[in-house]
Amino acid sequence: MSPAFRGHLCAPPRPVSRTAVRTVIHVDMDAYFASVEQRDLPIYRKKPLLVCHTDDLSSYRGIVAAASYEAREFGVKSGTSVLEAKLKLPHAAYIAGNYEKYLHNTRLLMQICEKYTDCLEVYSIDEAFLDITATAHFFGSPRDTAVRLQAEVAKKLRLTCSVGVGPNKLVAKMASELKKPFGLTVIEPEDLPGIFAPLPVDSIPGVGRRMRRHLDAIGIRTIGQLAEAPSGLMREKFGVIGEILHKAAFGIDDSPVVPSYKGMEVKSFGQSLSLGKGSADVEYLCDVLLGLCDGATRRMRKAGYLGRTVAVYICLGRLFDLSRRTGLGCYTDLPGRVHDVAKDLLLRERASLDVYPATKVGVSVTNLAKREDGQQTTVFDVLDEKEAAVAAVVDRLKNRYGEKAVTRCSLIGIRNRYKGAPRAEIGIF
Amino acid sequence: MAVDVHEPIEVSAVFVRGRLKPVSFMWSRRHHKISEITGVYKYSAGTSACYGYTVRSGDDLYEISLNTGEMAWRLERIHGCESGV
Ligand SMILES: [Mg+2]
Repeated sequence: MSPAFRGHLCAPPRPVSRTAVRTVIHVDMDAYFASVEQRDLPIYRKKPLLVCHTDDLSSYRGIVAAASYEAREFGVKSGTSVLEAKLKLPHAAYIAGNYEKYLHNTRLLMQICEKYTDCLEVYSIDEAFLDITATAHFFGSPRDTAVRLQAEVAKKLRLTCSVGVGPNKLVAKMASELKKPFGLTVIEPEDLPGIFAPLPVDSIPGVGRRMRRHLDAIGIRTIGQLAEAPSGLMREKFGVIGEILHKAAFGIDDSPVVPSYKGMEVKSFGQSLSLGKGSADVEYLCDVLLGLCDGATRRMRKAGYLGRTVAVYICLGRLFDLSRRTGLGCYTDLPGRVHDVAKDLLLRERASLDVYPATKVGVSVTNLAKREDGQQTTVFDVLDEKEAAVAAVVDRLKNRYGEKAVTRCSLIGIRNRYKGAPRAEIGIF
Repeated sequence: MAVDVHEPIEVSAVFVRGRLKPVSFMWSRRHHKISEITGVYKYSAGTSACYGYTVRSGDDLYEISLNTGEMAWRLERIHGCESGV
Protein backbone atom coordinates (compact mmCIF):
# COMPACT_ATOMS: atom_id res chain seq x y z
CA MET A 1 0.00 0.00 0.00
CA SER A 2 1.39 3.40 -0.92
CA PRO A 3 2.40 5.92 1.74
CA ALA A 4 -0.26 8.42 0.69
CA PHE A 5 -3.00 5.83 0.94
CA ARG A 6 -1.66 4.53 4.26
CA GLY A 7 -1.69 8.06 5.60
CA HIS A 8 -5.48 8.11 5.45
CA LEU A 9 -5.95 4.91 7.36
CA CYS A 10 -6.69 6.70 10.62
CA ALA A 11 -10.20 7.02 9.18
CA PRO A 12 -11.57 3.53 8.57
CA PRO A 13 -12.67 2.78 5.02
CA ARG A 14 -16.38 2.97 4.50
CA PRO A 15 -18.02 -0.43 4.50
CA VAL A 16 -19.27 -1.13 1.00
CA SER A 17 -22.20 -3.45 0.54
CA ARG A 18 -22.38 -5.65 -2.50
CA THR A 19 -25.37 -3.69 -3.77
CA ALA A 20 -23.84 -0.21 -3.20
CA VAL A 21 -23.49 2.02 -6.23
CA ARG A 22 -19.93 1.64 -7.46
CA THR A 23 -17.60 4.42 -8.51
CA VAL A 24 -15.03 3.53 -11.13
CA ILE A 25 -12.33 5.70 -12.66
CA HIS A 26 -10.85 5.00 -16.09
CA VAL A 27 -7.44 6.57 -16.74
CA ASP A 28 -6.27 6.76 -20.34
CA MET A 29 -2.96 8.37 -21.26
CA ASP A 30 -3.18 10.84 -24.15
CA ALA A 31 -1.31 9.81 -27.33
CA TYR A 32 0.86 7.83 -24.93
CA PHE A 33 3.95 6.68 -26.88
CA ALA A 34 4.12 9.92 -28.86
CA SER A 35 3.74 12.04 -25.71
CA VAL A 36 6.53 10.12 -23.92
CA GLU A 37 8.82 10.74 -26.90
CA GLN A 38 7.86 14.42 -27.20
CA ARG A 39 8.63 14.82 -23.48
CA ASP A 40 12.05 13.14 -23.72
CA LEU A 41 12.97 14.41 -27.18
CA PRO A 42 12.11 18.14 -27.17
CA ILE A 43 12.96 18.53 -30.88
CA TYR A 44 9.70 16.70 -31.68
CA ARG A 45 7.46 18.88 -29.50
CA LYS A 46 4.61 20.70 -31.24
CA LYS A 47 5.39 18.76 -34.44
CA PRO A 48 3.73 15.81 -36.15
CA LEU A 49 5.47 12.76 -34.66
CA LEU A 50 4.69 9.16 -35.54
CA VAL A 51 5.89 6.33 -33.34
CA CYS A 52 5.98 3.28 -35.57
CA HIS A 53 5.89 -0.42 -35.12
CA THR A 54 8.26 -1.51 -37.85
CA ASP A 55 11.57 -3.30 -38.40
CA ASP A 56 12.80 -0.66 -40.85
CA LEU A 57 11.86 3.00 -40.59
CA SER A 58 13.18 3.80 -44.04
CA SER A 59 10.69 1.36 -45.57
CA TYR A 60 6.93 1.66 -45.98
CA ARG A 61 6.32 -1.45 -43.87
CA GLY A 62 4.64 -1.51 -40.47
CA ILE A 63 1.98 0.48 -38.72
CA VAL A 64 1.73 3.66 -36.69
CA ALA A 65 1.66 2.70 -33.01
CA ALA A 66 0.96 6.26 -31.83
CA ALA A 67 0.50 9.63 -33.48
CA SER A 68 1.02 12.97 -31.75
CA TYR A 69 -1.97 15.31 -31.70
CA GLU A 70 -0.21 17.46 -34.31
CA ALA A 71 -0.15 14.43 -36.66
CA ARG A 72 -3.77 13.49 -35.92
CA GLU A 73 -4.87 16.80 -37.45
CA PHE A 74 -3.80 15.32 -40.79
CA GLY A 75 -5.90 12.19 -40.33
CA VAL A 76 -3.07 9.91 -39.21
CA LYS A 77 -3.77 7.90 -36.07
CA SER A 78 -2.63 4.67 -34.41
CA GLY A 79 -3.30 1.70 -36.65
CA THR A 80 -2.68 3.68 -39.86
CA SER A 81 -0.16 1.91 -42.09
CA VAL A 82 3.26 3.55 -42.38
CA LEU A 83 2.70 3.69 -46.15
CA GLU A 84 -0.52 5.69 -45.77
CA ALA A 85 1.06 7.91 -43.09
CA LYS A 86 4.04 8.73 -45.32
CA LEU A 87 1.73 9.65 -48.17
CA LYS A 88 -0.27 11.98 -45.95
CA LEU A 89 2.61 13.34 -43.88
CA PRO A 90 5.88 12.95 -45.82
CA HIS A 91 7.69 15.54 -43.68
CA ALA A 92 6.60 14.32 -40.24
CA ALA A 93 9.12 12.74 -37.84
CA TYR A 94 9.03 8.94 -37.83
CA ILE A 95 10.66 7.03 -34.97
CA ALA A 96 10.60 3.41 -33.86
CA GLY A 97 8.73 2.60 -30.65
CA ASN A 98 10.83 2.09 -27.51
CA TYR A 99 8.61 -0.24 -25.50
CA GLU A 100 11.05 -0.57 -22.57
CA LYS A 101 10.71 3.16 -22.08
CA TYR A 102 6.89 3.08 -22.26
CA LEU A 103 6.72 0.17 -19.80
CA HIS A 104 8.91 2.11 -17.37
CA ASN A 105 6.48 5.03 -17.55
CA THR A 106 3.50 2.68 -17.19
CA ARG A 107 5.01 1.30 -13.97
CA LEU A 108 5.31 4.84 -12.63
CA LEU A 109 1.72 5.57 -13.70
CA MET A 110 0.41 2.50 -11.87
CA GLN A 111 2.39 3.43 -8.75
CA ILE A 112 0.53 6.75 -8.75
CA CYS A 113 -2.86 5.05 -9.34
CA GLU A 114 -2.22 2.68 -6.42
CA LYS A 115 -2.29 5.64 -4.07
CA TYR A 116 -5.98 6.10 -4.77
CA THR A 117 -7.29 2.56 -4.32
CA ASP A 118 -6.16 -0.96 -3.66
CA CYS A 119 -8.55 -2.15 -6.38
CA LEU A 120 -6.59 -1.27 -9.52
CA GLU A 121 -6.88 -3.11 -12.82
CA VAL A 122 -4.09 -2.58 -15.34
CA TYR A 123 -6.15 -2.69 -18.52
CA SER A 124 -3.46 -1.99 -21.11
CA ILE A 125 -0.08 -0.31 -21.40
CA ASP A 126 -1.72 3.11 -21.04
CA GLU A 127 -5.06 2.43 -19.40
CA ALA A 128 -6.22 1.46 -15.93
CA PHE A 129 -9.49 1.05 -14.06
CA LEU A 130 -9.69 2.09 -10.40
CA ASP A 131 -12.62 1.05 -8.22
CA ILE A 132 -12.73 3.97 -5.78
CA THR A 133 -16.09 3.07 -4.18
CA ALA A 134 -14.47 2.52 -0.79
CA THR A 135 -11.70 5.11 -0.99
CA ALA A 136 -13.07 8.22 -2.77
CA HIS A 137 -14.14 9.81 0.54
CA PHE A 138 -10.49 9.93 1.63
CA PHE A 139 -9.87 12.46 -1.12
CA GLY A 140 -13.21 14.33 -1.00
CA SER A 141 -15.57 13.30 -3.79
CA PRO A 142 -15.04 11.02 -6.80
CA ARG A 143 -14.42 14.16 -8.87
CA ASP A 144 -11.83 15.41 -6.34
CA THR A 145 -10.12 12.01 -6.52
CA ALA A 146 -9.98 12.16 -10.31
CA VAL A 147 -8.72 15.76 -10.33
CA ARG A 148 -5.98 14.90 -7.84
CA LEU A 149 -4.94 11.78 -9.73
CA GLN A 150 -4.80 13.64 -13.04
CA ALA A 151 -2.73 16.46 -11.53
CA GLU A 152 -0.31 14.01 -9.90
CA VAL A 153 0.25 12.22 -13.22
CA ALA A 154 0.87 15.55 -14.96
CA LYS A 155 3.31 16.69 -12.27
CA LYS A 156 5.28 13.49 -11.76
CA LEU A 157 5.31 12.08 -15.29
CA ARG A 158 5.02 15.34 -17.23
CA LEU A 159 2.36 13.58 -19.31
CA THR A 160 -1.36 14.19 -19.62
CA CYS A 161 -4.14 11.67 -19.21
CA SER A 162 -7.87 11.76 -19.71
CA VAL A 163 -10.04 10.53 -16.91
CA GLY A 164 -13.59 9.22 -16.86
CA VAL A 165 -15.65 8.60 -13.73
CA GLY A 166 -18.79 6.49 -13.74
CA PRO A 167 -20.79 3.81 -11.93
CA ASN A 168 -19.01 0.98 -13.78
CA LYS A 169 -16.12 0.23 -16.14
CA LEU A 170 -18.15 0.69 -19.32
CA VAL A 171 -19.42 4.17 -18.39
CA ALA A 172 -16.04 5.23 -16.98
CA LYS A 173 -14.29 4.20 -20.20
CA MET A 174 -16.84 5.95 -22.40
CA ALA A 175 -16.59 9.03 -20.18
CA SER A 176 -12.80 9.23 -20.58
CA GLU A 177 -13.26 9.22 -24.36
CA LEU A 178 -15.63 12.19 -24.29
CA LYS A 179 -13.00 14.87 -23.59
CA LYS A 180 -9.42 14.48 -24.80
CA PRO A 181 -6.65 15.40 -24.24
CA PHE A 182 -6.40 16.19 -20.51
CA GLY A 183 -10.17 15.77 -20.15
CA LEU A 184 -12.12 14.93 -17.03
CA THR A 185 -15.69 13.68 -17.34
CA VAL A 186 -17.83 12.57 -14.42
CA ILE A 187 -21.06 10.78 -15.31
CA GLU A 188 -23.67 10.26 -12.61
CA PRO A 189 -26.10 7.38 -13.24
CA GLU A 190 -29.02 9.82 -13.57
CA ASP A 191 -27.20 11.78 -16.31
CA LEU A 192 -26.56 8.68 -18.40
CA PRO A 193 -29.50 8.81 -20.85
CA GLY A 194 -28.97 12.49 -21.69
CA ILE A 195 -25.26 12.05 -22.38
CA PHE A 196 -25.27 8.66 -24.11
CA ALA A 197 -28.49 8.75 -26.18
CA PRO A 198 -27.21 11.05 -28.97
CA LEU A 199 -23.83 9.31 -29.31
CA PRO A 200 -23.24 7.00 -32.29
CA VAL A 201 -23.37 3.27 -31.45
CA ASP A 202 -19.68 2.83 -32.13
CA SER A 203 -18.93 5.00 -29.07
CA ILE A 204 -19.61 1.80 -27.10
CA PRO A 205 -16.21 0.16 -26.61
CA GLY A 206 -15.94 -2.84 -28.87
CA VAL A 207 -18.55 -1.82 -31.45
CA GLY A 208 -16.55 -1.84 -34.64
CA ARG A 209 -17.28 -1.21 -38.27
CA ARG A 210 -18.90 -4.59 -38.80
CA MET A 211 -21.33 -4.37 -35.87
CA ARG A 212 -22.08 -0.74 -36.76
CA ARG A 213 -23.09 -1.86 -40.26
CA HIS A 214 -25.32 -4.65 -38.85
CA LEU A 215 -27.02 -2.19 -36.49
CA ASP A 216 -27.33 0.41 -39.24
CA ALA A 217 -29.16 -2.17 -41.37
CA ILE A 218 -31.92 -2.38 -38.75
CA GLY A 219 -32.10 1.39 -38.32
CA ILE A 220 -29.98 1.71 -35.17
CA ARG A 221 -27.43 4.50 -35.40
CA THR A 222 -27.35 6.04 -31.94
CA ILE A 223 -27.10 4.62 -28.44
CA GLY A 224 -30.56 6.08 -27.77
CA GLN A 225 -32.01 4.07 -30.68
CA LEU A 226 -30.20 0.98 -29.41
CA ALA A 227 -31.77 1.44 -25.97
CA GLU A 228 -35.22 1.70 -27.56
CA ALA A 229 -34.80 -1.50 -29.60
CA PRO A 230 -36.67 -4.49 -28.14
CA SER A 231 -34.22 -6.68 -26.21
CA GLY A 232 -35.81 -9.77 -27.83
CA LEU A 233 -34.88 -8.45 -31.29
CA MET A 234 -31.29 -7.83 -30.20
CA ARG A 235 -31.04 -11.34 -28.77
CA GLU A 236 -32.59 -12.86 -31.89
CA LYS A 237 -30.28 -10.94 -34.24
CA PHE A 238 -26.96 -11.03 -32.36
CA GLY A 239 -27.29 -13.67 -29.64
CA VAL A 240 -25.50 -13.07 -26.34
CA ILE A 241 -23.61 -10.13 -27.80
CA GLY A 242 -26.93 -8.51 -28.68
CA GLU A 243 -28.05 -8.77 -25.05
CA ILE A 244 -24.81 -7.28 -23.77
CA LEU A 245 -25.02 -4.46 -26.32
CA HIS A 246 -28.59 -3.71 -25.33
CA LYS A 247 -27.56 -3.52 -21.66
CA ALA A 248 -24.59 -1.34 -22.61
CA ALA A 249 -26.97 1.16 -24.19
CA PHE A 250 -28.41 1.71 -20.70
CA GLY A 251 -24.92 2.01 -19.24
CA ILE A 252 -25.25 -1.35 -17.49
CA ASP A 253 -22.03 -3.28 -16.94
CA ASP A 254 -21.52 -5.69 -14.06
CA SER A 255 -17.92 -6.61 -14.81
CA PRO A 256 -15.75 -6.08 -11.73
CA VAL A 257 -12.49 -4.16 -11.55
CA VAL A 258 -10.08 -7.06 -11.21
CA PRO A 259 -7.11 -5.98 -9.13
CA SER A 260 -3.63 -7.28 -9.75
CA TYR A 261 -2.68 -7.91 -6.13
CA LYS A 262 0.94 -7.67 -5.25
CA GLY A 263 2.75 -9.45 -2.49
CA MET A 264 -0.07 -11.93 -2.01
CA GLU A 265 0.10 -15.64 -2.40
CA VAL A 266 0.48 -16.50 -6.06
CA LYS A 267 -2.73 -18.04 -7.39
CA SER A 268 -2.04 -18.10 -11.09
CA PHE A 269 0.44 -17.27 -13.80
CA GLY A 270 -1.01 -15.64 -16.86
CA GLN A 271 -0.25 -13.49 -19.81
CA SER A 272 -2.51 -11.67 -22.22
CA LEU A 273 -2.26 -9.58 -25.36
CA SER A 274 -4.56 -6.87 -26.65
CA LEU A 275 -5.19 -7.10 -30.36
CA GLY A 276 -6.34 -3.56 -31.11
CA LYS A 277 -9.17 -3.89 -33.61
CA GLY A 278 -9.31 -7.63 -33.17
CA SER A 279 -8.59 -10.76 -35.16
CA ALA A 280 -10.75 -13.69 -36.24
CA ASP A 281 -7.81 -15.57 -37.79
CA VAL A 282 -7.80 -18.75 -35.69
CA GLU A 283 -4.37 -19.87 -36.87
CA TYR A 284 -2.89 -16.53 -35.91
CA LEU A 285 -4.67 -16.59 -32.53
CA CYS A 286 -3.28 -20.08 -31.83
CA ASP A 287 0.24 -18.77 -32.49
CA VAL A 288 -0.41 -15.78 -30.22
CA LEU A 289 -1.51 -18.28 -27.54
CA LEU A 290 1.75 -20.18 -27.99
CA GLY A 291 3.74 -17.01 -27.27
CA LEU A 292 1.57 -16.34 -24.22
CA CYS A 293 2.02 -19.93 -22.96
CA ASP A 294 5.78 -19.51 -23.37
CA GLY A 295 5.67 -16.32 -21.31
CA ALA A 296 3.42 -17.67 -18.55
CA THR A 297 5.30 -20.96 -18.11
CA ARG A 298 8.64 -19.15 -18.20
CA ARG A 299 7.54 -17.11 -15.18
CA MET A 300 6.28 -20.31 -13.50
CA ARG A 301 9.67 -21.96 -13.91
CA LYS A 302 11.42 -18.83 -12.67
CA ALA A 303 9.26 -18.76 -9.54
CA GLY A 304 9.38 -22.55 -9.09
CA TYR A 305 5.69 -23.29 -9.62
CA LEU A 306 3.81 -26.06 -11.41
CA GLY A 307 0.15 -25.87 -12.37
CA ARG A 308 -2.57 -28.29 -13.39
CA THR A 309 -5.43 -26.15 -14.71
CA VAL A 310 -5.35 -24.03 -17.85
CA ALA A 311 -7.73 -21.16 -18.52
CA VAL A 312 -8.13 -19.26 -21.76
CA TYR A 313 -9.61 -15.80 -21.80
CA ILE A 314 -10.95 -14.24 -24.97
CA CYS A 315 -12.41 -10.77 -25.23
CA LEU A 316 -14.78 -10.51 -28.17
CA GLY A 317 -15.05 -6.92 -29.28
CA ARG A 318 -14.21 -5.73 -25.74
CA LEU A 319 -17.81 -6.26 -24.72
CA PHE A 320 -18.08 -9.96 -24.35
CA ASP A 321 -15.63 -11.87 -22.19
CA LEU A 322 -15.23 -15.59 -22.56
CA SER A 323 -13.30 -17.63 -20.06
CA ARG A 324 -12.87 -21.38 -20.45
CA ARG A 325 -10.81 -23.68 -18.27
CA THR A 326 -9.89 -27.31 -18.10
CA GLY A 327 -7.57 -29.61 -16.17
CA LEU A 328 -4.20 -30.75 -17.47
CA GLY A 329 -4.39 -34.10 -15.72
CA CYS A 330 -1.14 -33.47 -13.87
CA TYR A 331 1.25 -30.72 -12.86
CA THR A 332 3.49 -29.07 -15.44
CA ASP A 333 5.46 -25.89 -16.09
CA LEU A 334 6.19 -26.59 -19.75
CA PRO A 335 4.65 -24.53 -22.57
CA GLY A 336 3.91 -27.41 -24.98
CA ARG A 337 1.31 -29.18 -22.88
CA VAL A 338 -0.27 -25.92 -21.70
CA HIS A 339 -0.52 -24.71 -25.30
CA ASP A 340 -2.11 -27.97 -26.53
CA VAL A 341 -4.88 -27.61 -23.97
CA ALA A 342 -5.24 -23.84 -24.43
CA LYS A 343 -5.50 -24.29 -28.20
CA ASP A 344 -8.29 -26.86 -27.78
CA LEU A 345 -10.18 -24.41 -25.57
CA LEU A 346 -9.75 -21.64 -28.14
CA LEU A 347 -10.82 -23.81 -31.08
CA ARG A 348 -14.04 -24.71 -29.28
CA GLU A 349 -14.98 -21.01 -29.49
CA ARG A 350 -14.52 -20.84 -33.25
CA ALA A 351 -18.21 -20.10 -33.80
CA SER A 352 -18.07 -17.04 -31.51
CA LEU A 353 -14.93 -15.80 -33.26
CA ASP A 354 -16.68 -15.95 -36.61
CA VAL A 355 -19.29 -13.53 -35.26
CA TYR A 356 -16.94 -11.21 -33.43
CA PRO A 357 -13.13 -10.94 -33.63
CA ALA A 358 -10.99 -11.43 -30.53
CA THR A 359 -9.65 -8.11 -29.25
CA LYS A 360 -7.70 -9.68 -26.42
CA VAL A 361 -6.55 -13.20 -25.65
CA GLY A 362 -5.02 -14.47 -22.49
CA VAL A 363 -3.93 -17.70 -20.94
CA SER A 364 -3.41 -18.55 -17.30
CA VAL A 365 -2.30 -21.58 -15.36
CA THR A 366 -3.90 -22.13 -11.94
CA ASN A 367 -4.15 -24.84 -9.30
CA LEU A 368 -0.52 -24.26 -8.46
CA ALA A 369 1.94 -26.20 -6.37
CA LYS A 370 5.49 -25.26 -5.46
CA ARG A 371 8.00 -27.45 -7.28
CA GLU A 372 9.84 -27.99 -4.01
CA ASP A 373 6.66 -29.29 -2.32
CA GLY A 374 7.07 -32.80 -3.59
CA GLN A 375 6.26 -32.23 -7.26
CA GLN A 376 9.83 -32.57 -8.49
CA THR A 377 9.06 -35.24 -11.02
CA THR A 378 5.81 -34.90 -12.86
CA VAL A 379 4.34 -37.17 -15.46
CA PHE A 380 5.08 -34.54 -18.09
CA ASP A 381 8.59 -33.94 -16.86
CA VAL A 382 9.06 -37.61 -17.61
CA LEU A 383 7.08 -37.70 -20.84
CA ASP A 384 8.46 -34.43 -22.12
CA GLU A 385 12.07 -34.89 -21.21
CA LYS A 386 13.14 -33.20 -24.44
CA GLU A 387 10.86 -30.21 -23.90
CA ALA A 388 12.04 -29.88 -20.31
CA ALA A 389 15.65 -29.88 -21.52
CA VAL A 390 14.91 -27.30 -24.23
CA ALA A 391 13.03 -25.12 -21.72
CA ALA A 392 15.99 -25.25 -19.34
CA VAL A 393 18.37 -24.10 -22.09
CA VAL A 394 15.99 -21.35 -23.21
CA ASP A 395 15.68 -20.18 -19.58
CA ARG A 396 19.45 -20.05 -19.22
CA LEU A 397 19.81 -18.04 -22.43
CA LYS A 398 17.07 -15.61 -21.39
CA ASN A 399 18.46 -15.24 -17.87
CA ARG A 400 21.77 -14.27 -19.33
CA TYR A 401 20.90 -12.28 -22.44
CA GLY A 402 17.36 -11.04 -21.81
CA GLU A 403 13.84 -12.10 -22.72
CA LYS A 404 14.27 -11.32 -26.40
CA ALA A 405 17.44 -13.41 -26.75
CA VAL A 406 15.67 -16.45 -28.14
CA THR A 407 12.27 -17.18 -29.66
CA ARG A 408 10.48 -19.96 -31.52
CA CYS A 409 10.82 -20.01 -35.30
CA SER A 410 7.03 -20.21 -35.55
CA LEU A 411 6.71 -16.90 -33.69
CA ILE A 412 9.20 -14.95 -35.82
CA GLY A 413 7.38 -12.21 -37.68
CA ILE A 414 4.10 -12.88 -35.85
CA ARG A 415 3.62 -9.14 -35.31
CA ASN A 416 3.67 -8.56 -39.05
CA ARG A 417 0.88 -11.10 -39.53
CA TYR A 418 -1.48 -8.92 -37.53
CA LYS A 419 -3.29 -6.42 -39.72
CA GLY A 420 -4.72 -4.23 -36.95
CA ALA A 421 -3.06 -2.15 -34.25
CA PRO A 422 -1.29 -4.33 -31.70
CA ARG A 423 -0.79 -3.01 -28.23
CA ALA A 424 1.33 -4.75 -25.68
CA GLU A 425 -0.65 -5.78 -22.67
CA ILE A 426 0.95 -5.84 -19.32
CA GLY A 427 0.18 -8.75 -17.07
CA ILE A 428 2.55 -8.36 -14.14
CA PHE A 429 5.08 -5.72 -13.25
CA MET B 1 15.41 12.59 -38.17
CA ALA B 2 16.73 9.64 -36.15
CA VAL B 3 19.80 7.56 -36.89
CA ASP B 4 20.44 4.17 -35.27
CA VAL B 5 24.01 3.70 -34.02
CA HIS B 6 24.16 0.94 -31.35
CA GLU B 7 27.91 1.29 -30.69
CA PRO B 8 29.94 1.07 -27.48
CA ILE B 9 31.07 4.47 -26.19
CA GLU B 10 33.11 5.88 -23.32
CA VAL B 11 31.12 8.01 -20.90
CA SER B 12 32.15 10.22 -17.99
CA ALA B 13 29.51 10.28 -15.28
CA VAL B 14 29.08 11.53 -11.73
CA PHE B 15 26.84 10.46 -8.86
CA VAL B 16 24.50 13.24 -7.73
CA ARG B 17 22.32 12.53 -4.68
CA GLY B 18 22.27 8.81 -5.36
CA ARG B 19 21.66 9.18 -9.08
CA LEU B 20 24.07 8.57 -11.88
CA LYS B 21 24.44 11.56 -14.17
CA PRO B 22 26.39 11.23 -17.46
CA VAL B 23 28.32 14.45 -18.16
CA SER B 24 30.17 13.76 -21.41
CA PHE B 25 30.99 11.00 -23.90
CA MET B 26 33.43 10.17 -26.64
CA TRP B 27 32.05 9.05 -29.94
CA SER B 28 33.48 9.09 -33.43
CA ARG B 29 36.73 10.49 -31.99
CA ARG B 30 34.86 13.55 -30.76
CA HIS B 31 34.21 14.70 -27.22
CA HIS B 32 30.52 15.47 -26.63
CA LYS B 33 29.65 17.56 -23.57
CA ILE B 34 26.18 16.80 -22.22
CA SER B 35 24.25 20.00 -21.56
CA GLU B 36 20.95 18.43 -20.43
CA ILE B 37 19.43 15.07 -19.55
CA THR B 38 15.93 15.13 -21.02
CA GLY B 39 14.79 11.63 -20.03
CA VAL B 40 15.75 8.55 -18.03
CA TYR B 41 14.19 5.10 -17.82
CA LYS B 42 15.08 1.77 -16.33
CA TYR B 43 14.74 -1.67 -17.88
CA SER B 44 16.35 -5.05 -17.60
CA ALA B 45 18.34 -7.17 -20.04
CA GLY B 46 18.51 -10.66 -18.65
CA THR B 47 19.64 -10.34 -15.04
CA SER B 48 21.24 -6.93 -15.61
CA ALA B 49 19.58 -3.65 -14.75
CA CYS B 50 19.95 -1.13 -17.55
CA TYR B 51 19.33 2.60 -17.78
CA GLY B 52 18.39 4.52 -20.88
CA TYR B 53 19.22 8.24 -20.97
CA THR B 54 18.22 10.85 -23.52
CA VAL B 55 20.79 13.63 -23.44
CA ARG B 56 21.40 16.86 -25.31
CA SER B 57 24.79 17.73 -26.71
CA GLY B 58 24.97 20.73 -29.00
CA ASP B 59 21.79 20.82 -31.08
CA ASP B 60 21.37 17.06 -31.17
CA LEU B 61 19.75 14.57 -28.81
CA TYR B 62 21.49 11.28 -28.08
CA GLU B 63 19.99 8.12 -26.63
CA ILE B 64 22.66 6.37 -24.58
CA SER B 65 22.35 3.29 -22.37
CA LEU B 66 24.18 1.76 -19.45
CA ASN B 67 24.16 -1.98 -18.79
CA THR B 68 25.05 -2.27 -15.10
CA GLY B 69 25.82 -5.99 -15.43
CA GLU B 70 28.52 -5.37 -18.01
CA MET B 71 29.24 -1.81 -16.82
CA ALA B 72 29.17 -0.81 -20.48
CA TRP B 73 27.75 2.28 -22.16
CA ARG B 74 26.38 2.37 -25.68
CA LEU B 75 25.20 5.05 -28.03
CA GLU B 76 21.89 3.79 -29.37
CA ARG B 77 20.40 6.57 -31.47
CA ILE B 78 20.85 10.18 -32.51
CA HIS B 79 17.93 12.54 -33.13
CA GLY B 80 17.98 15.69 -35.17
CA CYS B 81 21.48 15.01 -36.41
CA GLU B 82 22.45 17.90 -38.63
CA SER B 83 26.07 16.94 -37.95
CA GLY B 84 26.27 14.71 -41.01
CA VAL B 85 26.09 11.31 -39.32
MG1 LIG C 1 -4.50 6.19 -24.60
